[in-house]
Amino acid sequence: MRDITLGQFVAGNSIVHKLDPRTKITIMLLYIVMTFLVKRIYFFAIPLAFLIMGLLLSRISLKYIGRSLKPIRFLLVFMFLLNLIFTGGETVLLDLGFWKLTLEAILQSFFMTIRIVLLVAGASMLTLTTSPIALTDGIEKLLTPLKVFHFPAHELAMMMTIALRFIPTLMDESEKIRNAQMARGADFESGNIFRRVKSMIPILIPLFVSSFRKADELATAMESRCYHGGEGRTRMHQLRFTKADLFALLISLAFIAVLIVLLVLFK
Amino acid sequence: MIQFDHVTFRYENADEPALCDVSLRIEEGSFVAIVGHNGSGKSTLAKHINGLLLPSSGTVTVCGLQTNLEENILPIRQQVGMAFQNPDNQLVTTIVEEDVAFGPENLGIEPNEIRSRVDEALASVGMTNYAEKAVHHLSGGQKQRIAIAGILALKPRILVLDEATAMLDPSGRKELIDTVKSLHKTGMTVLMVTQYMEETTECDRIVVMNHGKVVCDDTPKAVFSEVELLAESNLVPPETVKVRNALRELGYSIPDSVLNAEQLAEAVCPLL
Repeated sequence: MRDITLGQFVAGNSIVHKLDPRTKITIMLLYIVMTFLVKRIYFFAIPLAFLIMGLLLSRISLKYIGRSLKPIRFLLVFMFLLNLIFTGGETVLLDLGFWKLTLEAILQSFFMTIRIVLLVAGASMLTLTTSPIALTDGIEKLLTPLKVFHFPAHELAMMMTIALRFIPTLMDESEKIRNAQMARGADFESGNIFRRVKSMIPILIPLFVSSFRKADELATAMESRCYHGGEGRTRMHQLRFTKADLFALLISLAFIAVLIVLLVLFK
Repeated sequence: MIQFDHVTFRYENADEPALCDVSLRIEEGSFVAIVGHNGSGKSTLAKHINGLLLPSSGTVTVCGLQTNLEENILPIRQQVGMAFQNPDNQLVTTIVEEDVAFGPENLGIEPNEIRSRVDEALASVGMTNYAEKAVHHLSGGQKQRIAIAGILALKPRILVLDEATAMLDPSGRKELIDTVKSLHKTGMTVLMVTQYMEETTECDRIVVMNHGKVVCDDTPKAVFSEVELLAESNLVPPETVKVRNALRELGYSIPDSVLNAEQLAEAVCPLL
């Protein structure tokens, strides 16, 4: 539980790990566009090929991808069934009178499921190969141009940094409060769902209060260390856009181009 | 180096002032302890040194800069490093070296210079091997040493510890005190706010606070002889001093200079 801050990041030394986080975020966005451009099931081969390439280059084991898909397995089944039941179509395979199973419905169900699996697997590729800190840096740098419109890019990144830093601390804290409440006779295990949710209140309120105290103390400590916002701030770790980054971006664009050409050719 | 001139400070909605006409002068290179029980105003005093609090009346001058001028705040905070009580609530980032870099990054220093400052700061608190570790895996004492490293990276001339040992276990406390002592040897001015009198025996000077006033300001030797004054301020002298005073009451003569266990042993042995 305590390692949750590091997200699902798997440290590694591959080309994908070494890419600039900005590049990886951009590629991730291109990949999402790619999966949404696909209108027919067999065109998923393109984003799938892209994903497999990334997987091979990053040397991330398939089991990590499986792990990231596990939490959404019920959603996937639900989506599949929903599409199967409510999609109409011409080619009737089975007629039960009140409901018809059609070929189109089966295709549509698979289509939606594959799209979500590809999206989640791709997103987890980003978080598996990029440390949360690098990710935060990348987001800050990518959003910096929006400062023209008074978008708080630095503040957002600082909030993410602090949130990452404090997740394990707050986990410890909630465990302590839980134990303290249990020692006073609180019961967190029995009763129906509503009772159990309600029994969380004695944990949440002290946690909330202590978070405010922590925030106050942290703000004082940050001020004491000369923090005065993002103005004139430098970073020790500089992000570097290398040839590899350019190459990776070009490959992604090539994939999208191929996909668009195919889409136009096989309308 | 630090000069308090008739400083009075009142928190909002408070009846009594937290600091009451305090005048104090701290020399460069000294090692000063500020002691007092809860609510004596010792932390309030410390927070005036880097302008976290500004005096209601009177002035605080640090390295020739007055704290009540807005443009002086940043230079003063660069000169005065401050470590706080809770080790968890003063580290900003997840990775040790990133946290140490936080201060210099705020000052807008060149990346290469930050790198060398971070390495130097981690070395001087003996945490070089932990540079890439996550802070939540460290012990309390180690976290406080990282906090000190984060301060050192700003290259301050004054180090203020605002009850920085209060939440540590005895070994963590020793770790921190040893680190601070070695920094003092390199010429750093150290101010230690504490309620543990054991930590103050090796200071040059002890400032005793009570009800927002400085009630005593002298060497440890002199302060620990003021038995009644310490009791009035709700302060418990170190065990060694208690033993010394008890022996004196029994009629043995033990000099004022006896403060730590070693000195006590040397003074007691001839009596046996």
